[in-house]
Amino acid sequence: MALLKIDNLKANINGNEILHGLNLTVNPGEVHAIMGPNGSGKSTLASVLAGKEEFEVTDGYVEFSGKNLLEMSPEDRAREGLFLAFQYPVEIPGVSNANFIKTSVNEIRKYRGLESLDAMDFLQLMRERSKLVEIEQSFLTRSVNEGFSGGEKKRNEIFQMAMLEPKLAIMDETDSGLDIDALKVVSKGVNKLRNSENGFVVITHYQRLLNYIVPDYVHILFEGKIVKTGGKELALELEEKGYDWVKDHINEL
Amino acid sequence: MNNSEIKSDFKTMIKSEFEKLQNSLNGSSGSEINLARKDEFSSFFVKGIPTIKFENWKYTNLTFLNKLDLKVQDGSEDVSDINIKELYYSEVDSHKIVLVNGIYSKELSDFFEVDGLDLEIINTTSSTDLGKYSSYYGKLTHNSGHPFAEINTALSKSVLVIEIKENKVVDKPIQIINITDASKHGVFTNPRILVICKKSSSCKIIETNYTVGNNPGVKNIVKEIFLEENANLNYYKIQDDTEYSHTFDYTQAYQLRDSHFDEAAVSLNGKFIRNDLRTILDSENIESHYYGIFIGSNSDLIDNHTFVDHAKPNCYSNENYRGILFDKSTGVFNGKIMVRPDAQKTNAYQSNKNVLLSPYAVINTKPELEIYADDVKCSHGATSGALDENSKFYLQTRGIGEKQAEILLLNAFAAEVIGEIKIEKLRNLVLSRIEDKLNMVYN
Repeated sequence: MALLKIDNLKANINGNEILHGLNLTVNPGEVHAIMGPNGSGKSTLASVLAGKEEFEVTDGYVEFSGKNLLEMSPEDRAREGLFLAFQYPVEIPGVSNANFIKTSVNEIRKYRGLESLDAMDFLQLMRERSKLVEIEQSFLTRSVNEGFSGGEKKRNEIFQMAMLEPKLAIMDETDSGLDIDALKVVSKGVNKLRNSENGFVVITHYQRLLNYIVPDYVHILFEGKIVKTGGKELALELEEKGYDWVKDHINEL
Repeated sequence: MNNSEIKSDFKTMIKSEFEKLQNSLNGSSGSEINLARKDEFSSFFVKGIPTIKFENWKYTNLTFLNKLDLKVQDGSEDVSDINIKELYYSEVDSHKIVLVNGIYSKELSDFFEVDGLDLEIINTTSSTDLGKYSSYYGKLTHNSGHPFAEINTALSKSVLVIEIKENKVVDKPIQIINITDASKHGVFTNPRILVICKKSSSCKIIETNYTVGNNPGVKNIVKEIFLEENANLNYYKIQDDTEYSHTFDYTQAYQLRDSHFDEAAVSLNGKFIRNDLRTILDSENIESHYYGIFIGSNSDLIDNHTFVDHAKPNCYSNENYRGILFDKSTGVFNGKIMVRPDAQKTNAYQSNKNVLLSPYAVINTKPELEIYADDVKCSHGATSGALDENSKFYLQTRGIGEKQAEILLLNAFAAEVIGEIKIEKLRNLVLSRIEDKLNMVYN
């Protein structure tokens, strides 16, 4: 069974249609990269999948692990195993990272009929996973993302991903604005989390990330539709020829 | 017509109580205390109960006072049902002083000799002279113009005096437990407290408030607080009472050189709360910090009126009030800052942030700055609105349900103010009460 099956998805914001009938299937163990120019609908796709209210789905169907994703609340999507790494992670003053992640882990466990992790087990899990993205313990007692640098925020997203072990992770321009060291740390974290059962949708503007997180498929999103799909070499071709090439390519069709 | 069914209005009740008190005084009717009492009464009587046409009472309708069946009450005959160990904030390790309807209860208090501290109870109906306290009592409330402070001076019969001696640091917090006993009938009480912090003394005071019984309890408390040179006082006022409680709190502080005063008002439960907090910074290098958190539900009203009066140069004041309003509750914040011509190099800051969680909840917030010096730093800011949708969504995408997400964000919003409480046990109790309250409102 596919992890994610998007069929003819159309979505609006403030009455403007951004996604014009998008199709995508992600199977367990696969990494899909979605590339596209600014304004092509990349972040809209991520927001719609995560359940952000401002976006109105007008047509199409999304199945996640056999269930109707679009009918679920954002929290239930997360509890079912969907994870969105934000392009702009939100700062939440007064809530410590540790308290936030503990609440999150236990809410998800509760949904799945599991007992809450006790303080000791939780601490141990946090220690272990925080190593994956090379974050210090002091990071955990700080307020969520408050005063974090861009790199720290993105590492925090991957740390949360590591704690929650989603079936499907959508990474929304996680690489944008990262320096090469931070990019390596983030990619290393993702690669360690990859296995034959989970899937990744990596949304990016730049090919560079795909040197570190090697995708099985590359899709080009343009004007709210996937216009071309290929292997990892498609990203290189796109990098070389630029997004204008996509435009021309569309016109040829 | 049966006379007993006619309820007298509030002002008439105050008048007849005042006359009764005057008639009962024998030798002391010409005393200085009683002259002040008469002055304050007439000042009140001319104005009467403030209506919403009074600028300072614009958002705070007091007509309910005429609808409540109240008797002026001092003390209570029977306190045997009350066990202070069972009271919520009793867990805080502290010297406990209990007032029942404004009158000190030795029986209920847990207070023994404390090094560096004098505790005095002065009966202002029998004493003709306040002795060493005559230069303190009534000196700050005199000319306050505040109708409820005037009523208190006119009617209160007992003063609790806490004096912290020079150079003394009190070993643990003093807890003043205000019990309003409304078990037999509705009551109107007038507790009166005088705190004198002598030169270089240091002390923490916690004030807790409980109403007993299912009749309305209206407490009209007045506090005068003196901080002499280099004195340090943290005063934590916990207003976590029942739905039958109504509170008027008038606190007036006076600070001298190098002194430091912190006041936190934690208003969590109660039908009606009006706090007036005023400080005169009357010398150099003084600090005053006001903190407040208020959480309203149902049709609660919580009103904080503050007045920081910078009279001399080189002082610092900071106010941080936060409100969370559910249902049909109303919040009021009015922050007045006066910088007098002498008060150059003043730093005065004020912030009031509010979260409204219902379309019927209301906040009225108003800064009031009067600045007559030209070399000062003053700022104020006020915000009100719903919870941040992006923060909520972020938490939801991590599997945290909508309600839980809101509770988490509101706890964090409140915790930023509660973090200023310097007594760890008290801080934790307050945080857990806030969490309880939020869980209750949401479920």
